[in-house]
Amino acid sequence: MSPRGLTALSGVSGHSPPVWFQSLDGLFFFFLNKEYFSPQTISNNMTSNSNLSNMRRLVEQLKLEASVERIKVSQAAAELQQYCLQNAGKDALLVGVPTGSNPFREPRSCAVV
Amino acid sequence: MCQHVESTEINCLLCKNVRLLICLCSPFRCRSLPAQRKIYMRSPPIPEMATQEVQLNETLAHLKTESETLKSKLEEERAKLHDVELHQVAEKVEGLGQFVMKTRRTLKGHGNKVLCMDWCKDKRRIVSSSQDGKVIVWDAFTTNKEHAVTMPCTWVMACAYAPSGCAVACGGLDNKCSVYPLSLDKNENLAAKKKSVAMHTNYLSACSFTNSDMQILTSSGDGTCALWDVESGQLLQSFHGHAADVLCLDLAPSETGNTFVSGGCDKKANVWDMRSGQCIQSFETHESDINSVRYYPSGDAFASGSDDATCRLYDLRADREVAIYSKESIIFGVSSVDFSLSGRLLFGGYNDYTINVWDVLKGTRVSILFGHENRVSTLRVSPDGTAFCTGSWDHTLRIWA
Repeated sequence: MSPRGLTALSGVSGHSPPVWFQSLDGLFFFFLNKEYFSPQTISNNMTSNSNLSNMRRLVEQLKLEASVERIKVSQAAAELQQYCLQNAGKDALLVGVPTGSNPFREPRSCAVV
Repeated sequence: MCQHVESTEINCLLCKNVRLLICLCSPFRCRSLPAQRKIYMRSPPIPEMATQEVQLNETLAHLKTESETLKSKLEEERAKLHDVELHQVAEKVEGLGQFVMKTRRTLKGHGNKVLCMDWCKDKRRIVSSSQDGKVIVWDAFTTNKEHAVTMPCTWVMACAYAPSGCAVACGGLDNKCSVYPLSLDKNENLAAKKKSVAMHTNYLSACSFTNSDMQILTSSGDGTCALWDVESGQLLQSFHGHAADVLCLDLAPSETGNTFVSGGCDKKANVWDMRSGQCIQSFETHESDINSVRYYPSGDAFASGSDDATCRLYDLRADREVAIYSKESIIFGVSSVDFSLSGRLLFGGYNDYTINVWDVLKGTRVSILFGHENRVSTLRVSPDGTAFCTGSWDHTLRIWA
């Protein structure tokens, strides 16, 4: 329903952005009906718009990840193995340390009664 | 930016950016929400507005297809470099002998489930937190309690020791991370000196000091991680990208730079750049929530433990999962993982009350440790690798060596 003397500039429904009107004195305005702020409308708008921004972010992120420089698994595995073997000597949980130097493994003596 | 901040988002009618309701960008005045209100503007609307919705749907579909193609391209690239398995490369390595690891100390004193623990850099002190809100600092050699603080909330799920050994940070259901400076005076009331540093909108799941006492990294059930300045409490950087609660995080070993890895309920493990806040790599091969992530000692890989009863090793330079540590007989989830000093052993604390020790290179289990009477909730290897400590829902902590 278009107010007198006003030109509607776009379509109207409860779920779309509001209709723009131009009054005779040149001012532009629009009516906001309750439906525009109903939870359903808000969530529709919200989901479609936040979906869009989420999708954009996702695409940007995927592009970033796709551009990462990768090496072959064989090379990576070889380097992991090399690190393990190089440091194995220092690893107390692996090779154990002489009793006495590990503060947790105190030598204890048992007495037979 | 629009000054009117409400809680829902719609597209701004003119600038098309996603704004908060109701936003009409300057030079317009907003009104609040009544029905049938006229809103005056100084210049006419842009004519393309009528087709806005149609355009929206088009771009959405277009973006969806683009993201699908990118995802498959990513998989392709990763698969190309998958020429061999880790355990195949490690076939020539000597197998490990029998392990004799026993409980050397039992720390009793918590009144309820132990949820988290951390070692001090002096390799001797431990801080642990529990469901009843207590945070206790222990001397692991003597099993004495050095400090005890009662937090105002229950379920203290995260605790961390400062690198200097002079403070501890903890948090949980209070959505905050609080830092308590430790004093030598045992009689001093620690709670009085508490400093609230981080503020999240959901529970705090993990926290860690960076290389200094001055910055803390936190992860939360609100899906974000954040870097905070301890002194001012200011947020330095936030990290968005997880689609669900973030459960764990680990900082890269200092030589390798400013990155950290986080794991969450969305089954993803993300690697982040601390300076830019960007997610640089993402791994999604787990089938359930990731409870724990830990960097390999060299910083080139990390392990994760999940509710799907597997631990997995991801290599950062090959950008893919390189090993899975699982057995058909293990059906309970992994709550925490850690590497031994050389990275050859991976310790996993499981919800079936046991600790499984895996050979990282060969992918086999070398040992299973019993002792706890309820699920193992946390596991950390000491800084010098001489022992590791586990905390459990049976209210105790055990030191194994």
